[in-house]
Amino acid sequence: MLPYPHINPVGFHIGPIPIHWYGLLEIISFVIGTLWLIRRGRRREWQWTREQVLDLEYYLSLGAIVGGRLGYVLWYDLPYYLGHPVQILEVWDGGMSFHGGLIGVIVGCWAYGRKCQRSTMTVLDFVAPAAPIGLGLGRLANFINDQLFGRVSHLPWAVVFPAGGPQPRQPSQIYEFLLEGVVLLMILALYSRKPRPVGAVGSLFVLFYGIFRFLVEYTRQPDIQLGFVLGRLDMGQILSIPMIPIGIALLYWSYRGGFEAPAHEPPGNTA
Amino acid sequence: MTAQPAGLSARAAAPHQAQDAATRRLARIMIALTILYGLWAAVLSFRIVVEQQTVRQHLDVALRARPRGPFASLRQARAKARGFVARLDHVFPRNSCARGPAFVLARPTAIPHRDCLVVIVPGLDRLHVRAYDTQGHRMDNVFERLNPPPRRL
Repeated sequence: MLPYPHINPVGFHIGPIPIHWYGLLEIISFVIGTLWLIRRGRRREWQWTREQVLDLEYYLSLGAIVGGRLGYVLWYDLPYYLGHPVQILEVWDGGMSFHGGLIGVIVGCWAYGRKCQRSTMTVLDFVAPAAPIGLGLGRLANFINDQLFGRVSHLPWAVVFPAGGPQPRQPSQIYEFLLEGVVLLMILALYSRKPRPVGAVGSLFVLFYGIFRFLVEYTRQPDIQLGFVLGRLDMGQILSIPMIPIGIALLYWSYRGGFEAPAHEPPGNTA
Repeated sequence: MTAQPAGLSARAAAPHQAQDAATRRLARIMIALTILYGLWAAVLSFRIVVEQQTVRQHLDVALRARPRGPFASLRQARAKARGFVARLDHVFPRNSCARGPAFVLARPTAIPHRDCLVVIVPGLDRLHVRAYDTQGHRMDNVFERLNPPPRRL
């Protein structure tokens, strides 16, 4: 059993304003992701300008926040929010869903694609390799914040989380950091080094995230207001299951050339 | 002379248009299935949250109101537990997600279907309370006490 490291959730202060690790890690991941996308956009097969990347980030951030919040409301605590609809807007109090955020990001890719005449799958392919940076650092922030911990366990590396009571628990945030962050980043970064069919990189993200999340959820404590929802499955698994066949179907379709760009698209959209 | 290249061009464009139409059809199917699945998950979640909220409140009430031990004998503990269960079943007569009562006096192994059930087990030192969630899995009393449900009953 390992002791919880008790990292102060407040990293430092700027004057009277406390800067929380959670927010700081999100900003760091945003900056790293943006810089990487700017560099990636310079490659011959992409040809995205810096302004286009920053413009795209705006669409993606908006999609992630709106989708993530609506997803949480819809799939995790709808009875509560029907009674307290104003609190849907209080995103700073926590409660975001990855799956809602993903739908929001896809809508953001579609909206941005329409604006700059690129296909949705092309935009998704471009941003997908950077997504694990934010996902991974977000899980580290969950660990620092003593939240979203694992189930009770007596493994040698189980941790006693102060918010989880006296029993040792799986450090599921660290598993998620490693799988949804480090491993997924490596898979997508290596895979996207060569030109791939349109839609392949985005499909691979959907497929592997679905697999990793489904597996890690077996170690994670389900949300207290829900518990298990279908036999031994929790809501995270229920929402991750369709990602696996959808990812496979999209990958198959992309290798069949189904998402290849029409001839009038800007160069770089067929990689 | 000009008709032939145009015809060739039309034939060359035809597979691309067919592919494009197939991709659009695939996209529409995927979107429709995703919406249907999302709605099903939302309905499932809504039902589970409502049922789970009730069983959490039942557990909370049982943990707070259980008679204190120690008891002189197991017989006395059982009598106390029986009275306690009868009182609880009178106040909360319905199991939130299954047929039958919300509270029972028994050894949990003796109960085949435990969904949303709170089981009172007599012990010499105290009455033990074990609750089972909407799927029949044992709930964690310590974790529930750390995060008590909103008291609406």
